[in-house]
Amino acid sequence: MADKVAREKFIRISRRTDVKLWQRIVIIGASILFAFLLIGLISNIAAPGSFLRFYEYMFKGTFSTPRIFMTLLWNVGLMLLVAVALAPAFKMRFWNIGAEGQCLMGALGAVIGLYFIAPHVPTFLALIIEFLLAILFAAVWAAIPAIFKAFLNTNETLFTLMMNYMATGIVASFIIFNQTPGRSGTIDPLNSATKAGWMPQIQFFHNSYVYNIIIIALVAVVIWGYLRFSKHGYELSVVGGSQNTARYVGINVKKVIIRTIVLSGVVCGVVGFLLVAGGSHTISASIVSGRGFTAILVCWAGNFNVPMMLFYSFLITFVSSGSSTASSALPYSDAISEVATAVFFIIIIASTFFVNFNVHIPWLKKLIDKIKDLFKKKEKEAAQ
Amino acid sequence: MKKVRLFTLLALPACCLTACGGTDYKPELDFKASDVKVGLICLHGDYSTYDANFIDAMNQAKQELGFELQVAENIDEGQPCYDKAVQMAELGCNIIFADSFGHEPYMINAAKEYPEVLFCHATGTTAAKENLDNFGDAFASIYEGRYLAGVAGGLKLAALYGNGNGANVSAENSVVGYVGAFTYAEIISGFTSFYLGVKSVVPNATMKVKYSGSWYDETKEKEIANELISQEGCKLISQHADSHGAPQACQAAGIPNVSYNGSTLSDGPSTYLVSSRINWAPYYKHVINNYVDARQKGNKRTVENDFTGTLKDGSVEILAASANCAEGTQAQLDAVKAELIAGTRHVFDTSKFTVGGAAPSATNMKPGDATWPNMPSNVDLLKDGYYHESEFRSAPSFDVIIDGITNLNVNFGE
Repeated sequence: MADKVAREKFIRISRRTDVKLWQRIVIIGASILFAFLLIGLISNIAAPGSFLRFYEYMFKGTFSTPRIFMTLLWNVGLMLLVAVALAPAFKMRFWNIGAEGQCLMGALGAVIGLYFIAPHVPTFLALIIEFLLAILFAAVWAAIPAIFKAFLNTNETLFTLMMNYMATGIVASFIIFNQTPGRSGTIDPLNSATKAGWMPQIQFFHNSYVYNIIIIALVAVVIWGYLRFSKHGYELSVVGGSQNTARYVGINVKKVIIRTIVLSGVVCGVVGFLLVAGGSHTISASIVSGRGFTAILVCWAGNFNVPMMLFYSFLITFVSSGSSTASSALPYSDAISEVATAVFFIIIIASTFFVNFNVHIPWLKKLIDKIKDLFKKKEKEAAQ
Repeated sequence: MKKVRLFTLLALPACCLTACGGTDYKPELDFKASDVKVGLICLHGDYSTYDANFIDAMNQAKQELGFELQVAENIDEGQPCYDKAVQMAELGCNIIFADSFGHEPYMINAAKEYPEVLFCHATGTTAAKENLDNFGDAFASIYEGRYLAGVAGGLKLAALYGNGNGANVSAENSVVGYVGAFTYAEIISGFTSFYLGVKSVVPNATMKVKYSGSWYDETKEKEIANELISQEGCKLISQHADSHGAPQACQAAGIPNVSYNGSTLSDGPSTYLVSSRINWAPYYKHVINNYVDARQKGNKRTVENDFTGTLKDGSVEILAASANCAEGTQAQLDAVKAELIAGTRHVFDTSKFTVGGAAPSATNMKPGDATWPNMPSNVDLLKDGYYHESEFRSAPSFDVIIDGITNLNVNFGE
């Protein structure tokens, strides 16, 4: 017994509660720098001598002209908005991994408006109808697992995941039944000639994504305020902390679960609406392109905090689109850029580990102490 | 008020640049092919046989002309294609190519916004309708390659079952099987020309076609090939899909196979006959050389709405006949190839096939709306005694099932 106590663990991890803001910034900043350096090295291994050109193309592909920059912002915004949609659910500890499907259903709602209604009504009205249809579809899609969770306590992770596949199936069938003649199972951008039901384009920077970005900013600010300052926001974090406590203080847990997840769905609906009305003006089963899943990472890394999520959305989008531009200009395949992106984020996630935990390695500490002692001894000897 | 004026001031020069820049070109005598920046947008990466065919051809053209190249892989057929095309144009690309059918509407949208950049799209169908100076579709008269491959298949049947004479092959021994992807004109045109090639050697030939409903589904393609061989009694198999399923099934059953897109000798060491493919390098070089020429002469930079590569210009290739082919196949292929190039033989010769028991006519041969919506009324596809495939529009339009061919199923992609 005494033996066991005496024996030190090889490595010991403890939770950190005292981490200061500057420490947090230093740890995360250092790991981001390290990650940037590493992906350049990966590029250099794939194409010797490409180390600096890798960064050059990364910036060229994301910052070099106003238009390219606006496209970056638009993708950052989309990523942020999906993460913002997840934040209330995650804060309530409802593991909604169905954002992909909810956004897709939102896009379906918007495309139904764009297809069947927009040609017959003024564009302003069409946009409102598309918007409402999008949030209705997405909210319903989110509400289904929420209701089951609230009343039957089903596992929401599996449920929302399955709802993703169902959404993909529904959208794929919608496309088959409504495909453009002469196309192989796709719908061409709708109302191309009249632009009926399209988000208006603004000539600022010769770019069509400006209004989308404004809408995203508005929604993000509203949800940020909702989580931080509203009674609802407080209630959902209480439910997330402990359902029993919530019940004890008189919160209607079922109501809060359903309300929060419907809100989550509504924000996903906005994403779907923007993807259709402000983006492709049509739908495909891959229109959300995995953002529903990547956003989980953003939401976690950002600690459900909207400004932090903005930071991580920016980082993710910048690295993935920048490295993919680099891979197209450098003599290696896109797979390398995917590897680089993945490595980058593993390091970032690892860095949040060091923010939240202390790692004690006793033998390493002893070793360092010994070396220090050695130096001290030598210094002393030198002094003598 | 001040803000509004500032905004107009900022916007005015931008409008001028786009509006007036297009009319005034100065000859740039020292402009060379190596000054050209080219972008290539691919649906998948070089791991897909389809995309690899484009990437390889582009690299070949690059080696010869020395231009600067960007290859963007894994670009979805949707807004990502538009965003990538815009990005390439913004980064100074002069010519942007895309390789997948579904990229087309997004390439067109980008083309409208960058009139000085050429946008070229393989396999597309709507360039003529859009009629933009800087947007073009391209395809190749691959039916000629398929026909030649069919001739090689027919010669093999003749050697196996007719003592070297195709006319001696019985109806039972001249059943050909075909594994298709979808029931589209591209596939129908391909297998019809293949069938007519076989039939030019084996007059009794009939063909059974089954569609997998996917461009790449190895298991399903293998299954279909096995079914065609064991249940339908097919004695020769060819395919139009991107996996190696059908050639492998043929090897296992000992049935000769005519391939597509490249040699599958490694899948069928004793059954692979020959393969035809599209080589995109001649098209790439053509567009890039024309662009350089326009810059040097100070002309407007344009690309034709429809370009069809041919056997003659090297866009359509028939690979060398393998050792599994019947004796004398290569000589016969060379002879037929020369006839096709000279125009003395036509693949879709209307005297060589019938539709629903009747001779081909403007009514029974008109492409359906799904194949060619808004087909111009002045197009006469049947003049001079043959179907003018890929002449008025580069993408294939032959979508009729002719007599002798049986569709075992129909699959438009469910």
